[in-house]
Amino acid sequence: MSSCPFCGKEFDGDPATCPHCGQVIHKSGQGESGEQMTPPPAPPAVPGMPVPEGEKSRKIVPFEDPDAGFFNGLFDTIKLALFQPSSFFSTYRFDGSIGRPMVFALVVGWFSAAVGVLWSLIFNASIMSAISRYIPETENAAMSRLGNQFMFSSIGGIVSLVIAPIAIVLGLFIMAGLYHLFLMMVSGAKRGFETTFNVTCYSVSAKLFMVIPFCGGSVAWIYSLVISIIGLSGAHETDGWKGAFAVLMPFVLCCCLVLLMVLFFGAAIAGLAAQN
Amino acid sequence: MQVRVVNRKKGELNLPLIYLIITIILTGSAYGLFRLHSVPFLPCPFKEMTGYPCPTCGSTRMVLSLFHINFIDAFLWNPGVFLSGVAAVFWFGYGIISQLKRKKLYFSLSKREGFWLRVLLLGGFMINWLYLVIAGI
Repeated sequence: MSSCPFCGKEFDGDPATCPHCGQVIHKSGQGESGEQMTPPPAPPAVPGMPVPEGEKSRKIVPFEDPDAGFFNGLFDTIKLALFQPSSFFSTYRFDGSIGRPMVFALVVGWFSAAVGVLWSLIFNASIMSAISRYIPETENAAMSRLGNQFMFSSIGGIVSLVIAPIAIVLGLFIMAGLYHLFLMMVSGAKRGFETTFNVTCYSVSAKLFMVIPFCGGSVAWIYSLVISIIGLSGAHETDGWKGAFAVLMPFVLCCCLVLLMVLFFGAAIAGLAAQN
Repeated sequence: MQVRVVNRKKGELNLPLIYLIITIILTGSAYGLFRLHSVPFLPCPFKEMTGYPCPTCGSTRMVLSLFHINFIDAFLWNPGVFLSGVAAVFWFGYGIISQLKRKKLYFSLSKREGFWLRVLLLGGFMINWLYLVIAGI
């Protein structure tokens, strides 16, 4: 039985990569049992931030690495959070300063919101043009009402982009606070609030699915919950169910929004099935 | 249970202060809506579907009672949320004192104490929910 120098979990055999976290394992020798493995090189320290004992073996998130550059770090972090969340959250450090992760969430969150507004404008415009074909030219009042509604929704979308940065920051603190509180309730908060907050910031990457028209918003919402669950359990090194409890309980308590979503999707699917 | 006063580290987050600012912004916005008579009364989906109140039902009416400075009514709308709010006020006060004095409290609970604290909180949560159901909030 050997253990992974990255995630610390045990495994059988002689795999080239850890079956739990996917990291490449470098061995120092060919022992018969209880093999010794070379620990990974110490990650570069974040300037001005002390490295806690338990976090020394973790790497710095590319977006927080001053040598990576802004855009390279941004794209690398998005790629890791979206496509390798399990490995990302169990091998990188999340207990550092909250400033840089908050900038990440602001950039990604605002871009996603802008794309969402753009899609809704295009969708509204096409609906308007479709409806106008069926309204007789004599019905000027109805056309003018529709035009006003379109104008107000467009202005609302643009105003929402202006206040989006404030809403994103408030939302991050509220969600991270709730997640951390519920993690504490089940003894899952092995690390500080900063870790929960930073995981919440990086889980905003899932909002990029808003680039998909129509269903993008739902996909983004569901995937951000999935990333948050994986992220909290990986970063806090706690059980998956504790992460799931922390992420899902706020929704269960806040008027059973999850149940409502399930009913909504169930009704939509049943409606489509009835049409066919 | 161990309680100690320790020095705050440089650059350490003062969470009570951060959440105090967030609460001021949110309460200010809610009060603005209240003054404009446009508080959005959203029906609770849980109550709509089951006929029973959810654990947070009555919170909006509690906030409106607070805006009218009617603390007894506010408490009766949802005692759990009201007491959580009172606890939050003490926490914010602690945050301000902690910022001024550059010190903070360090709490340490044994496993047994932690377990009983959780039982107490869960029990309080269930009793509060039961009250909301019986009172027909």
